Amino acid sequence: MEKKLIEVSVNGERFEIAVKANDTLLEVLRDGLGLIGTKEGCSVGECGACTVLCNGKPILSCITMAMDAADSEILTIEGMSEGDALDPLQEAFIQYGAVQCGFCTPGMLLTAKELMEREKRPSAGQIKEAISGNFCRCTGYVKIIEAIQATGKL
Amino acid sequence: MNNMRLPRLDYLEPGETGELLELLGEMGDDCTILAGGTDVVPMLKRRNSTATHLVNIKKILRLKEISYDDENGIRIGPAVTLREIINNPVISDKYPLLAKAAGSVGFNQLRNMATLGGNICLDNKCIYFNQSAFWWKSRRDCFKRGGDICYVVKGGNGCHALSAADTVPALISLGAELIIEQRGRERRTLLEVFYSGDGGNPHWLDRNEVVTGILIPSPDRGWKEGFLKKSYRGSVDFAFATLSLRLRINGGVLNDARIALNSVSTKPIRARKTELYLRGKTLSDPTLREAVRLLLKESMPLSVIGASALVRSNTIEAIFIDLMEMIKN
Repeated sequence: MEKKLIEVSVNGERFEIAVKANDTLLEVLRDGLGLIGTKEGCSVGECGACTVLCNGKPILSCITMAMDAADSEILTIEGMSEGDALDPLQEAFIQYGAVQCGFCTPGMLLTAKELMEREKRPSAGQIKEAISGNFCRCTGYVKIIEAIQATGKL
Repeated sequence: MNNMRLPRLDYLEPGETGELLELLGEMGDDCTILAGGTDVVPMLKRRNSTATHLVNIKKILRLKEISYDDENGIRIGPAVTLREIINNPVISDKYPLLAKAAGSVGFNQLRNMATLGGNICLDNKCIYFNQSAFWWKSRRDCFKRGGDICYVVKGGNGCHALSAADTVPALISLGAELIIEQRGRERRTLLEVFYSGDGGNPHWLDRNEVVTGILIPSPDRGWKEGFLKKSYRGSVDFAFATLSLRLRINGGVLNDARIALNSVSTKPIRARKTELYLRGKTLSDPTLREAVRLLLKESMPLSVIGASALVRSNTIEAIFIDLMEMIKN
């Protein structure tokens, strides 16, 4: 299949990548750029594990066509910390024990990051609403909601 | 394990409507339109769709615009995302019902991607049809796959997949119209007659046609309205039932009503008999009981996605009474 060059900014760095028509953004991030922090869960847009921020908004990279992501700005979990300095949300997730197996965590953190940018001090209801598309099968969500809420109170 | 990679595809990106209509005129049968992709891409991954050409309409600026004037109402481009609908100040002010319905679809990430046109043209859903190619290897093809059997309605002689778009009842109760274009031709159709009732081929839309605009008349005063969606978890899932209600009450008497439902049957329901019955009545308990009876008769709930027909019936009754109470007070 013919490849096409697209330009995309990932974690602040510009890339020119050759993609096939049937590549998804997730495949380009993981297999093309080696950014394996973004996870593939259900692969049909139901579980939220593949969440990345596209132009600041959380989207599902497993059902985003790579060619459609051309010229956009993507933020993955690898770009959330600045060097060794973790994002306050990441610190809170550690402190509150909001990570168990960790598979949902990258998507959960990115969804939460966008929420914090909209709402400085989100209520538990707002948090539940925002992360309702990020499935976690370990924690039961309580610690995750506490961690996000604690970040809002900093 | 299933192969969840996308099949081989051609990806096309017309930059303007004319180019899009040419493309669909030439090879509409092979094309599927990519707007948000939240439904089309999973369908391709599961091989529920056999399209070989994906036509992205999001690069066409005209299809992403919202324009409003007091006389003609609002025109919304089909590629406007549900998030843009929710955040649009004109829609929140003039058509809060639509903003509410858009906010009830799927979940956060999906609403950032999914579009209004995509929701209107959503394919019907079925617990059997929407399984993977691997799963279908061990089953005889159903009607929606070109076969001759329905697993939902045993012995049924047609497809009974569920019409499940949440914005549609709100749009129908607001009197929305669609602008549909093909090469050299444009037509307008009321949204409530856009749906065929055949789960296998749910829309009156030719393969070379595309929805290029959604029109809603300017809001007139004096209507009270409400929207409710009920699903298993309150997020993510398709609904047991979605109900949109608009009432005009004067001195305790109901002058006019618009009642629309979705996620109950193979097409969205405009409950005209219930509306007619309610006209001129005061909203007493016996009146509401009779209205519920008529509403259930008109909606003919199916046992398909997420709920049995009984659960669907009970849900319709509960959300109808709830909305009536909310609106009355």
